[in-house]
Amino acid sequence: MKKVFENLARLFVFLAAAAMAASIFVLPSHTWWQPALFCSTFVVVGAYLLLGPMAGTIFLIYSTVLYVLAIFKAVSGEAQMIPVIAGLVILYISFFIVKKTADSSVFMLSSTQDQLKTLEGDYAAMIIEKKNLTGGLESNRVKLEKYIKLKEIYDSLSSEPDFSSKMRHILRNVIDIFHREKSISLFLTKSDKVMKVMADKKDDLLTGEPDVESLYLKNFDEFILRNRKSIIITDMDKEIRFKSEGDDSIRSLISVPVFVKENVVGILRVNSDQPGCFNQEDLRFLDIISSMVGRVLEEEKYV
Amino acid sequence: MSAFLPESAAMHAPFQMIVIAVILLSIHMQMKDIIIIVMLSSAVMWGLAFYEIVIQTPQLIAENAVIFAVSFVLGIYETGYRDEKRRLTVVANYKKKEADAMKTEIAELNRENHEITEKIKEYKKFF
Repeated sequence: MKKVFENLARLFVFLAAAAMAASIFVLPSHTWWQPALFCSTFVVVGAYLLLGPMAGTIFLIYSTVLYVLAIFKAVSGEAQMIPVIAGLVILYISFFIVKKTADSSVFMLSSTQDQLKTLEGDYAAMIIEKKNLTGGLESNRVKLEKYIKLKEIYDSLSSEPDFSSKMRHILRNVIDIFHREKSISLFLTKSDKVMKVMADKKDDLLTGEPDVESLYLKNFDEFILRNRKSIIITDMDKEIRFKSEGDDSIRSLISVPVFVKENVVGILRVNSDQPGCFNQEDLRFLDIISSMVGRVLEEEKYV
Repeated sequence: MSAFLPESAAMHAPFQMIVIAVILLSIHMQMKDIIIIVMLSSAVMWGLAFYEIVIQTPQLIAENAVIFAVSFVLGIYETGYRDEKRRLTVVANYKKKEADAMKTEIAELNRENHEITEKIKEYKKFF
Protein backbone atom coordinates (compact mmCIF):
# COMPACT_ATOMS: atom_id res chain seq x y z
CA MET A 1 0.00 0.00 0.00
CA LYS A 2 2.82 2.39 0.89
CA LYS A 3 4.45 1.75 -2.49
CA VAL A 4 1.18 2.55 -4.26
CA PHE A 5 0.93 5.88 -2.43
CA GLU A 6 4.55 6.66 -3.20
CA ASN A 7 4.05 5.94 -6.90
CA LEU A 8 0.84 8.00 -6.98
CA ALA A 9 2.66 10.90 -5.33
CA ARG A 10 5.44 10.61 -7.94
CA LEU A 11 2.84 10.68 -10.72
CA PHE A 12 1.22 13.78 -9.19
CA VAL A 13 4.59 15.52 -9.08
CA PHE A 14 4.87 15.22 -12.87
CA LEU A 15 1.21 16.12 -13.43
CA ALA A 16 1.48 19.18 -11.19
CA ALA A 17 4.69 20.24 -12.96
CA ALA A 18 2.94 20.05 -16.34
CA ALA A 19 -0.19 21.80 -15.00
CA MET A 20 1.91 24.66 -13.61
CA ALA A 21 3.42 25.44 -16.99
CA ALA A 22 0.06 25.21 -18.69
CA SER A 23 -1.59 27.50 -16.14
CA ILE A 24 0.77 30.39 -16.90
CA PHE A 25 -0.15 30.35 -20.58
CA VAL A 26 -3.67 28.95 -20.60
CA LEU A 27 -5.49 30.24 -17.52
CA PRO A 28 -7.23 33.51 -18.34
CA SER A 29 -7.31 35.01 -14.84
CA HIS A 30 -4.09 36.05 -13.18
CA THR A 31 -5.74 35.27 -9.81
CA TRP A 32 -5.14 31.57 -10.62
CA TRP A 33 -1.47 31.99 -11.44
CA GLN A 34 -0.37 32.30 -7.86
CA PRO A 35 -2.14 29.08 -6.66
CA ALA A 36 -0.87 27.30 -9.79
CA LEU A 37 2.69 28.49 -9.15
CA PHE A 38 2.29 27.52 -5.50
CA CYS A 39 2.05 23.94 -6.82
CA SER A 40 5.78 24.27 -7.52
CA THR A 41 6.42 23.87 -3.76
CA PHE A 42 4.76 20.45 -3.89
CA VAL A 43 6.56 19.61 -7.15
CA VAL A 44 10.02 20.49 -5.82
CA VAL A 45 9.52 18.99 -2.34
CA GLY A 46 7.93 15.83 -3.79
CA ALA A 47 10.61 15.43 -6.44
CA TYR A 48 13.42 15.93 -3.92
CA LEU A 49 12.04 13.46 -1.40
CA LEU A 50 10.54 10.84 -3.73
CA LEU A 51 12.74 11.01 -6.83
CA GLY A 52 16.05 12.15 -5.36
CA PRO A 53 18.12 15.33 -4.99
CA MET A 54 18.89 15.57 -8.71
CA ALA A 55 15.21 15.50 -9.69
CA GLY A 56 14.44 18.04 -6.95
CA THR A 57 17.09 20.42 -8.30
CA ILE A 58 15.87 20.02 -11.89
CA PHE A 59 12.30 20.80 -10.83
CA LEU A 60 13.55 23.79 -8.82
CA ILE A 61 15.18 25.21 -11.96
CA TYR A 62 12.00 24.44 -13.94
CA SER A 63 9.83 26.22 -11.32
CA THR A 64 12.21 29.18 -11.21
CA VAL A 65 11.85 29.60 -14.99
CA LEU A 66 8.07 29.62 -14.60
CA TYR A 67 8.32 32.18 -11.80
CA VAL A 68 10.57 34.37 -13.99
CA LEU A 69 7.87 34.23 -16.70
CA ALA A 70 5.29 35.19 -14.07
CA ILE A 71 7.53 38.10 -12.97
CA PHE A 72 7.69 39.30 -16.58
CA LYS A 73 3.90 39.12 -16.72
CA ALA A 74 3.71 41.04 -13.42
CA VAL A 75 6.10 43.68 -14.81
CA SER A 76 3.87 44.06 -17.84
CA GLY A 77 0.95 44.63 -15.48
CA GLU A 78 -0.89 41.37 -16.05
CA ALA A 79 -0.46 40.25 -12.41
CA GLN A 80 0.50 41.46 -8.94
CA MET A 81 4.24 41.41 -8.25
CA ILE A 82 4.15 40.80 -4.47
CA PRO A 83 2.41 37.37 -4.50
CA VAL A 84 4.74 36.12 -7.28
CA ILE A 85 7.89 37.18 -5.38
CA ALA A 86 6.45 35.76 -2.14
CA GLY A 87 5.74 32.44 -3.90
CA LEU A 88 9.32 32.32 -5.22
CA VAL A 89 10.74 33.02 -1.75
CA ILE A 90 8.51 30.31 -0.21
CA LEU A 91 9.68 27.87 -2.90
CA TYR A 92 13.40 28.47 -2.20
CA ILE A 93 13.02 28.41 1.57
CA SER A 94 11.05 25.14 1.32
CA PHE A 95 13.69 23.66 -1.00
CA PHE A 96 16.59 24.45 1.32
CA ILE A 97 14.81 23.22 4.44
CA VAL A 98 13.86 19.95 2.70
CA LYS A 99 17.40 19.58 1.38
CA LYS A 100 18.87 20.02 4.86
CA THR A 101 16.36 17.60 6.39
CA ALA A 102 16.92 14.97 3.70
CA ASP A 103 20.71 15.36 3.91
CA SER A 104 20.64 14.92 7.66
CA SER A 105 18.40 11.82 7.27
CA VAL A 106 20.78 10.33 4.71
CA PHE A 107 23.73 11.12 7.00
CA MET A 108 22.02 9.44 9.95
CA LEU A 109 21.20 6.35 7.90
CA SER A 110 24.66 6.10 6.41
CA SER A 111 26.30 6.52 9.82
CA THR A 112 24.10 3.69 11.17
CA GLN A 113 25.07 1.59 8.14
CA ASP A 114 28.74 2.39 8.79
CA GLN A 115 28.27 1.30 12.39
CA LEU A 116 26.70 -1.92 11.11
CA LYS A 117 29.61 -2.52 8.76
CA THR A 118 32.06 -1.93 11.62
CA LEU A 119 30.13 -4.40 13.78
CA GLU A 120 30.12 -6.94 10.96
CA GLY A 121 33.89 -6.47 10.48
CA ASP A 122 34.52 -6.87 14.20
CA TYR A 123 32.33 -9.95 14.28
CA ALA A 124 34.16 -11.51 11.31
CA ALA A 125 37.48 -10.84 13.08
CA MET A 126 36.10 -12.43 16.24
CA ILE A 127 34.99 -15.52 14.29
CA ILE A 128 38.56 -15.92 13.00
CA GLU A 129 39.93 -15.32 16.51
CA LYS A 130 37.53 -17.92 17.93
CA LYS A 131 38.49 -20.41 15.22
CA ASN A 132 42.21 -19.92 15.95
CA LEU A 133 41.58 -20.08 19.66
CA THR A 134 39.52 -23.26 19.34
CA GLY A 135 42.29 -24.84 17.25
CA GLY A 136 44.92 -23.78 19.78
CA LEU A 137 42.79 -25.00 22.66
CA GLU A 138 42.24 -28.36 21.02
CA SER A 139 45.96 -28.77 20.41
CA ASN A 140 46.71 -27.71 24.02
CA ARG A 141 44.17 -30.25 25.31
CA VAL A 142 45.90 -33.01 23.33
CA LYS A 143 49.25 -31.78 24.64
CA LEU A 144 47.99 -31.74 28.22
CA GLU A 145 46.60 -35.24 27.81
CA LYS A 146 50.05 -36.40 26.68
CA TYR A 147 51.70 -34.77 29.71
CA ILE A 148 49.17 -36.36 32.05
CA LYS A 149 49.90 -39.79 30.52
CA LEU A 150 53.61 -39.14 30.78
CA LYS A 151 53.27 -38.19 34.42
CA GLU A 152 51.28 -41.37 35.04
CA ILE A 153 54.03 -43.38 33.37
CA TYR A 154 56.64 -41.66 35.50
CA ASP A 155 54.66 -42.16 38.70
CA SER A 156 54.12 -45.86 37.97
CA LEU A 157 57.85 -46.40 37.43
CA SER A 158 58.45 -46.92 41.15
CA SER A 159 56.43 -50.14 40.99
CA GLU A 160 58.85 -51.61 38.44
CA PRO A 161 61.47 -53.78 40.16
CA ASP A 162 64.60 -53.30 38.05
CA PHE A 163 66.33 -51.13 35.48
CA SER A 164 65.41 -53.18 32.41
CA SER A 165 61.72 -53.43 33.32
CA LYS A 166 61.66 -49.68 33.97
CA MET A 167 63.04 -48.99 30.50
CA ARG A 168 60.59 -51.40 28.91
CA HIS A 169 57.73 -49.91 30.92
CA ILE A 170 58.56 -46.39 29.77
CA LEU A 171 58.86 -47.27 26.11
CA ARG A 172 55.84 -49.57 25.98
CA ASN A 173 53.63 -46.91 27.49
CA VAL A 174 55.18 -43.92 25.76
CA ILE A 175 54.47 -45.33 22.30
CA ASP A 176 50.77 -45.21 23.17
CA ILE A 177 51.07 -41.42 23.36
CA PHE A 178 52.27 -41.29 19.74
CA HIS A 179 49.28 -42.50 17.82
CA ARG A 180 49.13 -44.47 14.55
CA GLU A 181 51.45 -47.32 13.70
CA LYS A 182 54.81 -46.31 15.12
CA SER A 183 57.59 -47.88 17.05
CA ILE A 184 60.02 -46.45 19.54
CA SER A 185 63.63 -47.46 20.07
CA LEU A 186 66.09 -46.61 22.81
CA PHE A 187 69.77 -47.28 22.16
CA LEU A 188 72.06 -47.05 25.15
CA THR A 189 75.68 -46.80 24.12
CA LYS A 190 77.56 -46.83 27.38
CA SER A 191 80.62 -48.96 26.74
CA ASP A 192 79.95 -51.56 29.43
CA LYS A 193 76.11 -51.54 29.15
CA VAL A 194 75.24 -51.49 25.45
CA MET A 195 71.60 -52.31 24.95
CA LYS A 196 68.60 -51.78 22.72
CA VAL A 197 64.99 -51.43 23.85
CA MET A 198 62.35 -51.51 21.12
CA ALA A 199 58.62 -51.21 21.58
CA ASP A 200 55.50 -50.81 19.51
CA LYS A 201 51.84 -51.01 20.42
CA LYS A 202 51.92 -54.79 20.47
CA ASP A 203 55.18 -55.75 22.13
CA ASP A 204 58.47 -54.62 23.64
CA LEU A 205 61.92 -56.17 23.54
CA LEU A 206 65.12 -55.45 25.44
CA THR A 207 68.38 -56.85 24.15
CA GLY A 208 71.85 -56.45 25.51
CA GLU A 209 74.71 -56.17 23.01
CA PRO A 210 78.41 -56.78 23.47
CA ASP A 211 79.44 -53.45 21.89
CA VAL A 212 78.11 -50.34 20.13
CA GLU A 213 78.78 -51.79 16.64
CA SER A 214 76.35 -54.62 17.39
CA LEU A 215 73.51 -52.07 17.67
CA TYR A 216 73.76 -51.49 13.89
CA LEU A 217 73.03 -47.79 14.30
CA LYS A 218 71.89 -46.00 11.20
CA ASN A 219 73.58 -42.92 9.80
CA PHE A 220 71.11 -40.51 11.40
CA ASP A 221 71.61 -42.21 14.80
CA GLU A 222 75.33 -41.69 14.49
CA PHE A 223 74.72 -38.08 13.52
CA ILE A 224 72.79 -37.54 16.77
CA LEU A 225 75.42 -39.20 18.91
CA ARG A 226 78.14 -37.17 17.25
CA ASN A 227 76.40 -33.78 17.17
CA ARG A 228 74.22 -34.14 20.31
CA LYS A 229 71.28 -32.68 18.37
CA SER A 230 67.69 -33.75 17.78
CA ILE A 231 66.47 -34.46 14.25
CA ILE A 232 63.16 -34.72 12.48
CA ILE A 233 62.82 -36.43 9.11
CA THR A 234 59.43 -36.07 7.47
CA ASP A 235 60.14 -38.23 4.44
CA MET A 236 63.18 -40.43 4.10
CA ASP A 237 62.74 -40.68 0.32
CA LYS A 238 63.20 -36.90 -0.01
CA GLU A 239 65.95 -36.68 2.58
CA ILE A 240 69.27 -35.41 1.26
CA ARG A 241 71.34 -35.58 4.45
CA PHE A 242 70.88 -39.30 5.09
CA LYS A 243 70.60 -42.18 2.67
CA SER A 244 67.99 -44.83 3.40
CA GLU A 245 69.16 -48.38 3.43
CA GLY A 246 67.77 -50.97 1.02
CA ASP A 247 65.37 -52.92 3.22
CA ASP A 248 64.60 -49.97 5.47
CA SER A 249 60.93 -49.49 6.28
CA ILE A 250 61.47 -46.13 8.00
CA ARG A 251 59.84 -43.25 6.12
CA SER A 252 59.64 -40.61 8.84
CA LEU A 253 61.19 -40.24 12.27
CA ILE A 254 62.06 -38.08 15.21
CA SER A 255 65.13 -38.79 17.23
CA VAL A 256 66.77 -37.14 20.25
CA PRO A 257 69.92 -37.76 22.28
CA VAL A 258 69.57 -39.08 25.82
CA PHE A 259 71.66 -37.19 28.34
CA VAL A 260 72.76 -38.18 31.81
CA LYS A 261 74.16 -34.99 33.27
CA GLU A 262 76.39 -33.69 30.45
CA ASN A 263 77.03 -37.03 28.75
CA VAL A 264 75.19 -38.47 25.78
CA VAL A 265 74.42 -42.04 26.75
CA GLY A 266 72.05 -43.01 23.99
CA ILE A 267 69.39 -42.16 21.46
CA LEU A 268 65.64 -42.22 21.65
CA ARG A 269 63.91 -42.59 18.31
CA VAL A 270 60.28 -42.86 17.17
CA ASN A 271 59.78 -43.90 13.57
CA SER A 272 56.98 -44.71 11.21
CA ASP A 273 56.66 -46.44 7.85
CA GLN A 274 54.47 -43.53 6.70
CA PRO A 275 55.86 -40.16 5.60
CA GLY A 276 55.02 -36.86 7.39
CA CYS A 277 53.95 -38.43 10.68
CA PHE A 278 55.82 -36.07 13.01
CA ASN A 279 56.05 -32.37 13.71
CA GLN A 280 58.12 -30.09 15.90
CA GLU A 281 55.68 -30.55 18.76
CA ASP A 282 56.28 -34.32 18.69
CA LEU A 283 60.02 -33.67 18.69
CA ARG A 284 59.73 -31.40 21.74
CA PHE A 285 57.66 -34.06 23.46
CA LEU A 286 60.19 -36.76 22.68
CA ASP A 287 62.83 -34.47 24.13
CA ILE A 288 60.89 -34.42 27.40
CA ILE A 289 60.63 -38.23 27.34
CA SER A 290 64.36 -38.38 26.75
CA SER A 291 65.02 -36.21 29.80
CA MET A 292 62.70 -38.49 31.80
CA VAL A 293 64.65 -41.52 30.60
CA GLY A 294 67.86 -39.66 31.48
CA ARG A 295 66.54 -39.04 34.98
CA VAL A 296 65.70 -42.76 35.44
CA LEU A 297 69.17 -43.70 34.15
CA GLU A 298 70.69 -41.29 36.64
CA GLU A 299 68.59 -42.67 39.49
CA GLU A 300 69.57 -46.20 38.48
CA LYS A 301 73.22 -45.06 38.44
CA TYR A 302 73.60 -46.06 34.79
CA VAL A 303 76.55 -43.75 34.37
CA MET B 1 -1.83 38.44 8.10
CA SER B 2 -4.26 37.23 5.46
CA ALA B 3 -6.95 39.05 7.39
CA PHE B 4 -5.07 42.36 7.40
CA LEU B 5 -3.27 42.43 4.04
CA PRO B 6 -5.42 43.41 1.04
CA GLU B 7 -6.23 40.23 -0.90
CA SER B 8 -5.98 42.00 -4.24
CA ALA B 9 -2.35 42.93 -3.59
CA ALA B 10 -0.94 40.01 -1.56
CA MET B 11 -3.34 37.22 -2.63
CA HIS B 12 -2.93 34.35 -0.13
CA ALA B 13 0.83 34.60 0.28
CA PRO B 14 0.73 34.70 4.12
CA PHE B 15 -1.39 31.54 4.15
CA GLN B 16 0.97 29.84 1.70
CA MET B 17 3.82 30.42 4.13
CA ILE B 18 2.32 27.73 6.31
CA VAL B 19 4.01 25.23 4.00
CA ILE B 20 7.38 26.35 5.46
CA ALA B 21 6.02 25.73 8.96
CA VAL B 22 4.80 22.30 7.85
CA ILE B 23 8.25 21.32 6.54
CA LEU B 24 10.01 22.67 9.64
CA LEU B 25 7.58 20.95 12.03
CA SER B 26 7.89 17.65 10.14
CA ILE B 27 11.45 17.37 11.47
CA HIS B 28 10.30 17.23 15.09
CA MET B 29 6.63 16.27 15.09
CA GLN B 30 4.57 13.36 13.88
CA MET B 31 2.71 13.94 10.65
CA LYS B 32 -0.75 13.47 12.20
CA ASP B 33 -0.07 16.43 14.56
CA ILE B 34 1.07 18.55 11.64
CA ILE B 35 -2.08 17.69 9.69
CA ILE B 36 -4.13 18.87 12.71
CA ILE B 37 -2.22 22.18 12.75
CA VAL B 38 -2.76 22.58 8.99
CA MET B 39 -6.46 21.83 9.37
CA LEU B 40 -6.77 24.41 12.14
CA SER B 41 -4.99 27.04 10.01
CA SER B 42 -7.20 26.16 7.04
CA ALA B 43 -10.25 26.45 9.29
CA VAL B 44 -9.17 29.98 10.22
CA MET B 45 -8.74 30.84 6.53
CA TRP B 46 -12.11 29.36 5.68
CA GLY B 47 -13.59 31.33 8.60
CA LEU B 48 -12.18 34.50 7.00
CA ALA B 49 -13.75 33.37 3.73
CA PHE B 50 -17.06 32.79 5.53
CA TYR B 51 -17.00 36.40 6.77
CA GLU B 52 -15.98 37.49 3.27
CA ILE B 53 -12.65 38.94 4.41
CA VAL B 54 -11.08 36.52 1.89
CA ILE B 55 -13.16 36.24 -1.25
CA GLN B 56 -11.14 34.15 -3.67
CA THR B 57 -12.22 30.81 -2.23
CA PRO B 58 -11.66 28.58 -5.32
CA GLN B 59 -7.97 29.48 -5.20
CA LEU B 60 -8.02 28.73 -1.48
CA ILE B 61 -9.15 25.17 -2.25
CA ALA B 62 -6.19 24.70 -4.60
CA GLU B 63 -3.75 26.12 -2.03
CA ASN B 64 -5.16 23.85 0.67
CA ALA B 65 -4.71 20.88 -1.67
CA VAL B 66 -1.05 21.82 -2.24
CA ILE B 67 -0.37 22.18 1.50
CA PHE B 68 -1.97 18.82 2.24
CA ALA B 69 -0.08 17.22 -0.67
CA VAL B 70 3.22 18.54 0.70
CA SER B 71 2.31 17.19 4.17
CA PHE B 72 1.44 13.84 2.59
CA VAL B 73 4.78 13.62 0.76
CA LEU B 74 6.69 14.59 3.91
CA GLY B 75 4.70 11.94 5.78
CA ILE B 76 5.64 9.25 3.26
CA TYR B 77 9.31 10.27 3.43
CA GLU B 78 9.36 10.38 7.22
CA THR B 79 7.66 6.98 7.47
CA GLY B 80 10.18 5.46 5.06
CA TYR B 81 13.09 7.06 6.92
CA ARG B 82 11.85 5.96 10.35
CA ASP B 83 11.17 2.40 9.12
CA GLU B 84 14.66 2.17 7.62
CA LYS B 85 16.24 3.62 10.76
CA ARG B 86 14.27 1.24 12.99
CA ARG B 87 15.30 -1.70 10.78
CA LEU B 88 18.97 -0.69 10.90
CA THR B 89 18.79 -0.10 14.65
CA VAL B 90 17.24 -3.54 15.19
CA VAL B 91 19.96 -5.15 13.04
CA ALA B 92 22.68 -3.14 14.82
CA ASN B 93 21.33 -4.16 18.24
CA TYR B 94 21.20 -7.78 17.15
CA LYS B 95 24.78 -7.58 15.85
CA LYS B 96 25.91 -5.96 19.12
CA LYS B 97 24.30 -8.75 21.13
CA GLU B 98 25.86 -11.32 18.81
CA ALA B 99 29.27 -9.64 19.19
CA ASP B 100 28.88 -9.52 22.99
CA ALA B 101 28.00 -13.23 23.06
CA MET B 102 31.03 -13.96 20.88
CA LYS B 103 33.26 -11.86 23.17
CA THR B 104 32.05 -13.84 26.18
CA GLU B 105 32.69 -17.08 24.32
CA ILE B 106 36.20 -15.94 23.35
CA ALA B 107 36.91 -14.84 26.93
CA GLU B 108 35.78 -18.27 28.16
CA LEU B 109 38.00 -20.01 25.59
CA ASN B 110 40.92 -17.77 26.57
CA ARG B 111 40.38 -18.57 30.23
CA GLU B 112 40.26 -22.32 29.51
CA ASN B 113 43.32 -22.05 27.27
CA HIS B 114 45.18 -20.15 29.96
CA GLU B 115 44.35 -22.82 32.55
CA ILE B 116 45.53 -25.61 30.24
CA THR B 117 48.72 -23.68 29.38
CA GLU B 118 49.44 -23.20 33.07
CA LYS B 119 49.00 -26.91 33.70
CA ILE B 120 51.29 -27.73 30.77
CA LYS B 121 53.90 -25.33 32.20
CA GLU B 122 53.72 -27.14 35.52
CA TYR B 123 54.26 -30.49 33.81
CA LYS B 124 57.12 -29.07 31.76
CA LYS B 125 58.72 -27.74 34.92
CA PHE B 126 58.35 -31.19 36.48
CA PHE B 127 60.00 -32.97 33.59
